[in-house]
Order: sequence, then structure tokens, then C-alpha cells
Amino acid sequence: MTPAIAAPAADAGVAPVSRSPTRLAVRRFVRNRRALASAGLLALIGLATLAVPLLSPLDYREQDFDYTLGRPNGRYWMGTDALGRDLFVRLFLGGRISFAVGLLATTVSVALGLAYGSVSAFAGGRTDNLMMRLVDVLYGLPTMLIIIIVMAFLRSRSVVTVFVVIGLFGWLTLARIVRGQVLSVKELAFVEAARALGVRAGPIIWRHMIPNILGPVIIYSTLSVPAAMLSESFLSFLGLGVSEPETSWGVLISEGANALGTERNYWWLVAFPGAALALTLYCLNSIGDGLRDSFDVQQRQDR
Amino acid sequence: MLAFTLRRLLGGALTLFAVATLSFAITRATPGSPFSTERSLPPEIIRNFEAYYGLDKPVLVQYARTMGRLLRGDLGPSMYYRDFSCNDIVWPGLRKSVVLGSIAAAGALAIGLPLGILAAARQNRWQDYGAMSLSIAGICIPNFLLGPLLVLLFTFGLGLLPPARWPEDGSLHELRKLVLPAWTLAMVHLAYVSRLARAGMLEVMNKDYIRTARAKGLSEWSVYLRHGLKNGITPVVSYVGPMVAVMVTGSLVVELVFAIPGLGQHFVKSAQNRDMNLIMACVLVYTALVIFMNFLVDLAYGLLDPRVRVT
Repeated sequence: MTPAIAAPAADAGVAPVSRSPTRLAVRRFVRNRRALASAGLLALIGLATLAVPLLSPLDYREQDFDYTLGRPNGRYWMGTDALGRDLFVRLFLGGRISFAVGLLATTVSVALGLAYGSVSAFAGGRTDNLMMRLVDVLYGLPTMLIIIIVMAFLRSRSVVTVFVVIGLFGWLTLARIVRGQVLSVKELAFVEAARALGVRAGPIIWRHMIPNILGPVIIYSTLSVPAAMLSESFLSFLGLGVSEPETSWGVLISEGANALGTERNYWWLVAFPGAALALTLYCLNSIGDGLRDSFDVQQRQDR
Repeated sequence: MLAFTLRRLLGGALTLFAVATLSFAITRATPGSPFSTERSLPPEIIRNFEAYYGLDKPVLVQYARTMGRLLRGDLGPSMYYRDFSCNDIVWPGLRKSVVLGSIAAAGALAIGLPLGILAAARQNRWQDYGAMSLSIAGICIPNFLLGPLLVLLFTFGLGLLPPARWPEDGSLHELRKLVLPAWTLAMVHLAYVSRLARAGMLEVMNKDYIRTARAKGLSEWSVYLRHGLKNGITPVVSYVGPMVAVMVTGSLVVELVFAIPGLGQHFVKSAQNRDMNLIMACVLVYTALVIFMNFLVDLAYGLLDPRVRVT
């Protein structure tokens, strides 16, 4: 029988302020000015993609044949493309697709990684070994090349195929992280208690383990959103992403790059979509880094 | 050492086999054929083509034949460029891609390493902030954006460098064509190398043996470069393996943007043309390249850090 731990004497007389690790972490995050500013900016960009029909009266398919490849002016704030369509509206509507693919692809890979990693760790033994060897083999594959082949050979390329294919190839790292976390939680007292009470494997994983390993999962997912957006833009740039009249930042950048070959300098076609993509990637990466620094004390880099 | 080499060889062969099987499966399981593009051919001619390339056989027979052919080092005939074999297309392309990739890798290391080391030596001063801002920019500006931006700036804006194509000879004037593509390919790696070098150096400089070196009166430069450097840059060495893999994907974009007839361009075009044999050839060559580079990196890692014993 261990005696109850005595309250620290220094706190005697002062009302004890309890600070949960989560609250401390949130405070660390809020103090990280770069991460906080990035979150704000990202929210602005996200809102603009949703509210763009209110911001501009133009339609994203509407063509102005008298003003193709036009410079930015009072009516077309970011200029027009080769078909005389307004770049401002197309940019933010394209942003919807870029964001959607980033979030949905991450959702797909998180779901797969959570399921695979937790089952592998919970099963243990030979099953675990086999499942993880499979992950090792898949790790050796040139993922992006295979995604390109799949996309090239698919007949219909919609937003759905893009995010499903990206998500399908993105769960490996997450499966490893989840497995490591589950292994460390697996032997803890509350899991043993649940098992002693006769709870079956499924509910133990779902109700008792997953809530306790969510932290690292969330942090890794935040960092995989920009990666998925980058993959989407990359595919769209190669002409293997979403197809006309739908658009995304990758499509717009590729149209801009193609227009560069001609003698006149159509800088706005590259500069605006490029800035949108680069800024968004910067914000997402900063937020992910900020979350990791504030929640994951062990991995914190001393700066 | 021998056991290590053999085990890696076996693992590499396994990965190549998996890649060959997977790419075969994808190309056969999805609709579309290399003969159904542009103008529509009469069905008899398509049937003749399919018979010629063995596509009329059951899938398992095709698979066995393909694998047997690959084992003999024959990548097969191209189904789109019908007068060429894949071997004729792939190897000259690979040579260009490897030349470009080597220049980019050398550049990323030659600039990224000193930059990271400098940033660590001048931590929290303007040199540090400058280097790390450059690094963040390198990470957030993907290569398919950087390429067009560089062309805008250096070709259309300043008129300094040619925008595209492969050099026709070794003269300095022609070699200028390599500057922008190599820069585009190298930038993101330069960013990561400088970050890793900085973090590695900062960690090492807190170690006891560095304190000892300082205590015995060595100059700061000597401590830094002779004692700190060797351990400080090990994270960079382990980055070189993944760097090659990422450079492969990067080269796809760079070769398209700068019209360089390398392996990357062949890969993308063969995927669009559904040239089944050429796709498999490209993927296999790429995979073999990445496996080989990772093997070299692991060997180098063992040499640099005796604690990592190669067994």
C-alpha cells in the first residue's frame, strides 16, 4: 500500500490551478506566432474559396473573346486566361478542389492507416510481423510513378478518383505510427482492465486505444494535407488530375507554364495560382510544425 | 559485408519483381490500348497489332512471357513508337536524366551543406534567418512552379539564360541550358539539406567531446570543421537515399517544363500513350536506380559512422 501522494507544500494556501497537458499544449501553440498567423491566413484563403461567388459577379466558364490572355484590370482582378475566362474566380474555385483533395485524401489514408496499424499491433506475433513486412515491401515501391500509371490508365478522372488514388497510397507511414502508439498503449492498465472485464478486441481498439493515440495521428495528418495537395497539383500539372471545366491550382499553374512558351510575357497566369499554392503550403506546414512542437514534447527541437 | 550485399541484392530483386507485377497488372486491368488513339484503325489492323505484341493471348501467358523477357534484359518493343525497342528509347533517356540529376544533387549538396553549417554557426543571427527563409521558400515552392518562375525571371525578365532544351555540344554557350533545369530540380533538396545540416550541427555542438576540444584550446574553426562536421552531417547522408527517389519524380516535371528528352519525359508520355511496354521499362529502370542509390548510401553511412555497423 503506497501512501497517497501529498500535495506540494508550496501550493498550500493558493488555490491550485490545474493545467491539463492539452491546455498547456494549446497555450504553447497560441504563443507560436508563426503557426497562429498561418492558421489565420489559411482560414482567410479557405473562406475566400467558399465565398468567391459573393466576391465576384463573373462565372468561371464565361469567356470574353475580346480580352483573352488579358492583363489584370478593374474587371478581371487577376487577368484572363487563353480562353478569356476570369482568373480570379477560377483561382478560388480551383482552390476548392485543391483543398477538398488535400482533406479527403488525408481522410482516406488516415482511416486506412488507423485500421491497419491498430489491427497489426493488437494482433501481435506472427500476424503483426507479416503485416509490417508487407508495409516494408510497399514502402520500396516508387509511389508517385505508380499513381501516375493508375491515373493515366483510368478512363474517367474526377475529383473522387484523384483523392481516392492519392489516399490509397498515403497510409503507410501512418500505419507505422499508429502501430507504434498502439503497442505502447496496449500493455497499460486500463486496457488490461477492459480485457479482464471481457470486452472484445474491436471495442477495445475503438473505444479504449484509439482515443489515447489520437495526438500523434492528428499531428501527422496535418502534415499530410499539404503533401496530398502537392500530389494533386503535381498530377494536374502533368494533365492527369481533374479535367475541364473543373480546375485546380495545379491545372492553372500548368496552363500558365504552357502560355510562357509564347513571345509575350503572361506572368499573371503563373504568378497568382503559384502564390496561392505556395502560401497555402507554407501555412499548412507551419501549422503542422507548430502542432508538433506544442503537443509532442519529446520530439521538440530545442531552439 | 558480403552478407549485407547479398541480402540487399535479394531485397532489391524482390522489390523489382513486385514493381513489375504491379505495373503489369495496372496496365492490363484498365481499359484502353496503345492502338486506340487519334485516328481509329480498322478492327482487323488492331487485331494484327495485338497479335504482333502478344496482346491476344490470355493474361497469364502474357505475364509469363513478359517476365521471361525482362529476365533476359529485354525491355520489349515500344507499342507506340513502333519502330523502336524500349531499350533503344530508355537508355539514352536515362543518360540525360542521370547527368541532370547528378548536377542537381551535387549543387544541392555543394550549396545546401555550407549554408546549413553557416546557419548553425551563426544561430539566431541574420545568416541563420536568411538561410532558413530560403529553405522554407524551397520547400513551399514546388518544382513545377519554380521552373516556370525561373524561366519568367531569367529568360523573359533578364534575358540571361536560354529557356529550354538539351545542350547540343559541350561548349559553355550550350551548357548554359542546364542551369535552370538543374536549379529547379535541386532547390527543394537544397532546402532540406541545409535544414538537416543545421539541425545536425546544432545537436553535435552540445556534445561533451566538443567541449573537450574547446577546452584544450583548439580554434573555433578547427572545433567546428574537424570535430563537429563529421558527426554533424550524418543526417544529410541518410537523406541522400530518399533524395534520389524524390528527384526521379521531380525530373518528370523538369523534363516536361524544359523540353529535355530524358527518361522522365518518356515516362509521362508513355503513360499518356498507354505504351504498356515502355511504361514498365521506365518504372523498372527508375526502381533499380533508386534501390542501387539507397544501397550505396547505406554503405557510406556505415563508413562515416562506425556505430552503424554494416552486417
